[in-house]
Amino acid sequence: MSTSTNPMIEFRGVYKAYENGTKALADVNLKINKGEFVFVVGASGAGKSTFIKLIVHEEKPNAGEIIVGDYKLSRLKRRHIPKLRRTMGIVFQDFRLIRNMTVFENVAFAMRVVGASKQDIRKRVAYALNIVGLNDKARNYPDELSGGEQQRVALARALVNNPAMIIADEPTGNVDPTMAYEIVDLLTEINKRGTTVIMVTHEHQLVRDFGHRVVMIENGQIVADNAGLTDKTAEAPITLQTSVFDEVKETAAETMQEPAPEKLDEADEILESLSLGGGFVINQPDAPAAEQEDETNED
Amino acid sequence: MKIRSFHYLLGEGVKNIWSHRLMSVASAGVLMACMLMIGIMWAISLNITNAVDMIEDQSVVLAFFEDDMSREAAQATTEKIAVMDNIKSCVFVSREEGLQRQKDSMGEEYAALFDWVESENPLPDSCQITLEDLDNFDQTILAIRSVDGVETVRQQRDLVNKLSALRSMINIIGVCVIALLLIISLVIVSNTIKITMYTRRLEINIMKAVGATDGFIRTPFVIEGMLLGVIAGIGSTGILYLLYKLAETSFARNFGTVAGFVPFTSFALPLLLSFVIIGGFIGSLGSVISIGKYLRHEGSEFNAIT
Repeated sequence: MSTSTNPMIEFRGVYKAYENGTKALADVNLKINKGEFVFVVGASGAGKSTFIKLIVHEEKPNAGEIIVGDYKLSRLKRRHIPKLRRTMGIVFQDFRLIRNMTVFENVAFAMRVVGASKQDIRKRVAYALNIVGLNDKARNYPDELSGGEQQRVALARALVNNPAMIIADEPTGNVDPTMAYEIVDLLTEINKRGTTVIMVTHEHQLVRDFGHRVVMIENGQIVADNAGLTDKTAEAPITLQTSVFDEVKETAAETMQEPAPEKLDEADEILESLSLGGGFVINQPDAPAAEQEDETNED
Repeated sequence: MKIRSFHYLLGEGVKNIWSHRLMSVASAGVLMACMLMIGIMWAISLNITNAVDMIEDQSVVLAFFEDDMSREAAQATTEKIAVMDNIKSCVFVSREEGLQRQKDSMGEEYAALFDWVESENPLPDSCQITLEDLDNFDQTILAIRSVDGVETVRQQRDLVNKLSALRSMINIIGVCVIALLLIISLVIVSNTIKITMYTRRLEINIMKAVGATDGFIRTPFVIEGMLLGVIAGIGSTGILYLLYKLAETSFARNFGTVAGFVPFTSFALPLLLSFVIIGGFIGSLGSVISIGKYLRHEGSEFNAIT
């Protein structure tokens, strides 16, 4: 992926601490370009959820700037949050389907919210269900479907308004492994049609096998990001790539308290020795102090 | 909001009442209980006021004519008084009628005591006067007194004062109790709706995630609250009617008359209208309050829903 000047999501020196004192993110800098597929990985409590909550503007950062599409979130008024949300499709780990609505109704629900017409709803829902391969289950209720199918319904719901990005929070967490691959396959398919996909997961095998960009968060910091490495996903020997990833993961796991730069250097060295070029960057803000105006969030 | 959306949300509001019928019954029941108390308070205060009015009407001013006045002259004077300022009614009472009333008021045992006066009735002709406005009591009495042929005026200033004080007290208490009950019902209803909202947080959560505006999320709840309020209003009017009939019957059994009772039909329509309006208002306001709190503080999109 070329580092186009057209980021879909950009974090600039973002800090987030909760009122109870938990420091969730510290000085996070990240760019996700239009059309990218990004896995966000990390142990639980590392800050992945906060990362997502910041993107959808459920939480606000204490410092730094987040840009999502055309929105500068520090300037986003509460009443404009719905507009932001309509640019994204969100997929949850627990599916969040409404049990007393059919598959069709569940997907249509997302369109009713934006005030779509009946004809549009009929057309788009059928289209979205077709993409996830569930057209024949339109009249079923969620309880009559398998976990994988339910998550596909949720995916159809996320897709139906044709969002610019899909944010998936552990979408494979509650489905069996084969289904998990199907889900990520689908996401990849959707990604190929131009939708940016950000998927939070802790399933390393999946991450390995799909070979998209991986952003790793530990202790509230991005400790690894193989941006630029995965452009040639198809050609790149996946096994090599992921073995390096494992090294980084291990070193990060060993140093839970404090991400140790030297460990990451080691990972880079391994990369070098495999003549793949240094791909892992320690979290170093490329646009430091200048952007950190410490803007207080207006509301 | 688009008309299309509103149409959809209206349908959702109505549908929600049925699909969450247990909570609907609970909310409407609570509201109904509150309005019933308001209604009972209303009926009581209405009846007391009515009773006071009746006593006031009877606590008449009696003007006695001079003994030697002819009956025609006395009747003419009665008519003269009737058209004076602040006079509501002025009825001629002949001396015979006056004696009969006196006897009636004494009860049967004592009535015999009056037998000896049948032949020589000591009472003069008189007229029974009620006033329009009791605030101008004193001036009116003075005016009556100065009419030619009027010998004495019998009046019950103290009773009149006490009654008007009683009536204003009842009114104040009534208003306070009703206001208090309204506040209580608002609190209870908004809490009940908060519970229904809790049972539906998944839907709200999804709506927020897919970009629903606060207005969109709020509307079905407000419609639901309003409808439940209206239903509760109609229901409580019905129940109040039954209770009122019951009270009337038992009053009639104990006192042999329903004379003091304000007939239900005379205030049924304003009662129903107020209940429907109050119910609708409290129901929708309760929804707005509780959903507002929910949308601002509790509606997290990502935290797991259990």
